Amino acid sequence: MKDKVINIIQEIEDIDEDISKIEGLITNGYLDSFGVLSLVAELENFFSVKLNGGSEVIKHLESVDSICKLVESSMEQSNG
Amino acid sequence: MKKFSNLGQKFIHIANQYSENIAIRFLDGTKVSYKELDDLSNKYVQYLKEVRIKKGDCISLSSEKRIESYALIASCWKTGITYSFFDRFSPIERLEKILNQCNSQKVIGSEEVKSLLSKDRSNMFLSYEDIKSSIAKFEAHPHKIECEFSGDEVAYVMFTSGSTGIPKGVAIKHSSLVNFTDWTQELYEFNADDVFSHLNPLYFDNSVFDLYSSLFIGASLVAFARDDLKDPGLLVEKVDEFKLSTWFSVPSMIIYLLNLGAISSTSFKYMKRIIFGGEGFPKNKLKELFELIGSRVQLVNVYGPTEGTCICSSYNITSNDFSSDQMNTLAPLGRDMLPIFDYYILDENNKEVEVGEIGELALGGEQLSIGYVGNEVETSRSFILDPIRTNGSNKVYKTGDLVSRASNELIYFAGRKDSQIKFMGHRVELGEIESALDSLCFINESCVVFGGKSDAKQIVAYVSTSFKPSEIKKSLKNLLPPYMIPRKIRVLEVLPKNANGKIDRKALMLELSNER
Repeated sequence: MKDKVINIIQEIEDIDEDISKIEGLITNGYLDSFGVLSLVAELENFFSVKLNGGSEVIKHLESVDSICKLVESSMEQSNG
Repeated sequence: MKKFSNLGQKFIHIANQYSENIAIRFLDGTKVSYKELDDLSNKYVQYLKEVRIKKGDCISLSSEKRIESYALIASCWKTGITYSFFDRFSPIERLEKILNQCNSQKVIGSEEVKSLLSKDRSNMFLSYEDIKSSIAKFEAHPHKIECEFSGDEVAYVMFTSGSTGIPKGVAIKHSSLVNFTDWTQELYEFNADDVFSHLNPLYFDNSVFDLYSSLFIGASLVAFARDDLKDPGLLVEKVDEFKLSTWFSVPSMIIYLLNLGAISSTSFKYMKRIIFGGEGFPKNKLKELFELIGSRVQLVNVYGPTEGTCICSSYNITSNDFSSDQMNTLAPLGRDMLPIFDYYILDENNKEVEVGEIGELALGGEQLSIGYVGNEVETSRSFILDPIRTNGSNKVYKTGDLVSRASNELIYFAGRKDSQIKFMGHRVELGEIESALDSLCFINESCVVFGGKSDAKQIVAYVSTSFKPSEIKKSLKNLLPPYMIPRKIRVLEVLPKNANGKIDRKALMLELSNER
């Protein structure tokens, strides 16, 4: 999953750094609002899941690890 | 309703009437009353005179939501000086094209904007900080601010994408904007107690709606800066904290909030109306919004090209729209255009089509732009003599939008005649992106398409090159604003061709729709 998430982010916004190590993808300006929308759409599309977290969802999109956790918990919730 | 010749006269009248009302609020708590805004703009009037900027000249302002920007706008309303906003995050080459087109006498912005400009251009730069210290000597109430000029003076120039790679500057007259402030007040029953959202950047046509609707009735405008829009939860929180009663944005912004779960059935407590325009609102998402808050908030779909002074039609969404076949994929544009517009739906020979047939929307009337500044060719191409009432010299603007009028008089959007698209509400000529790609020496050929899922359409570039997508994107960032950079770049050995030997756009669209 981690590799796929990195690929998705890389495809949305070309980042010349090790994406897996970045904290603050949004707050540090790596992803703009177009990027955030695309990221949510791509994650939901690829993993066939509705991301949970409500209005707080954006706080879980700041790093690859937190995105993976969000996708996993969203998948568990939709399966459960 | 009292009639005013120009915006200056009307603004002074409103500022006197509602002097203590708050005109603009900022999220950090700063606020400015109508009296303060009027006084400050009077000082700017004197300053502009001192630096020899006069009626008919154009000043370019960096798109920053700060008190000084609004005071400068108001001083332009009072003097007949034209203003034009630019995006300071736009690449320098595009910025230069924009400044050249409108023949700016001065460029005004915060100090760091100066470093973006060429040496020649930086000589005409004025910083907000310098102006602030220069205006201290001026009186807030000089004896006479005349505002004696015709409504034909150009109030602002708004730039949109141009298919040849050169942005087009749409010039809008004072009289059109005075009319705009009159009809929006009447149609939506706006009053001085309303609190408007001000979400759109000032260089974007949609900002005209709330700026002009609000400041000419004594209402409040709540200015959201670029960074204030990043956190959807916080944004929705601020809407209630500032007791917003009128929201205006592109559907993309609302869909963004919906997709991120920020809007619930209890959101927008004080809201009376949510007005959206600039692009189509997909039915499924509109239904989601309607089901959440549609029973207590009026949802309104508006439509209009920049050339028609922001808006030319309006349609109130009701539950009928979802239970009948009134809405196929997008909400109707309106029941007719607004009365202030003349319009035709024309076939390829500029003859009116029958009811139910699809044709190009042509707009006429006093709300029309006078054309594109410094671009006679594009002006004469798009603004043509009225082809139906041929006995006068009236012009109509051919919008390029394909529409149809149903037997119930509702008008529906049916696509574009050309390759212009709307992305996040921004008007984008795919040709401008292709032109930027083709200007890169390492691109052999390119084709840009817009497609994907209906509520997540993307700009995708197909190119033939030996370079990597990341390298291409980097180069494009020097040529195009962020919203025009293709989200995806697909590299092919050669692009597919149709029977005529041209790049097969349809085949590429099909390829895109087949991608997962």
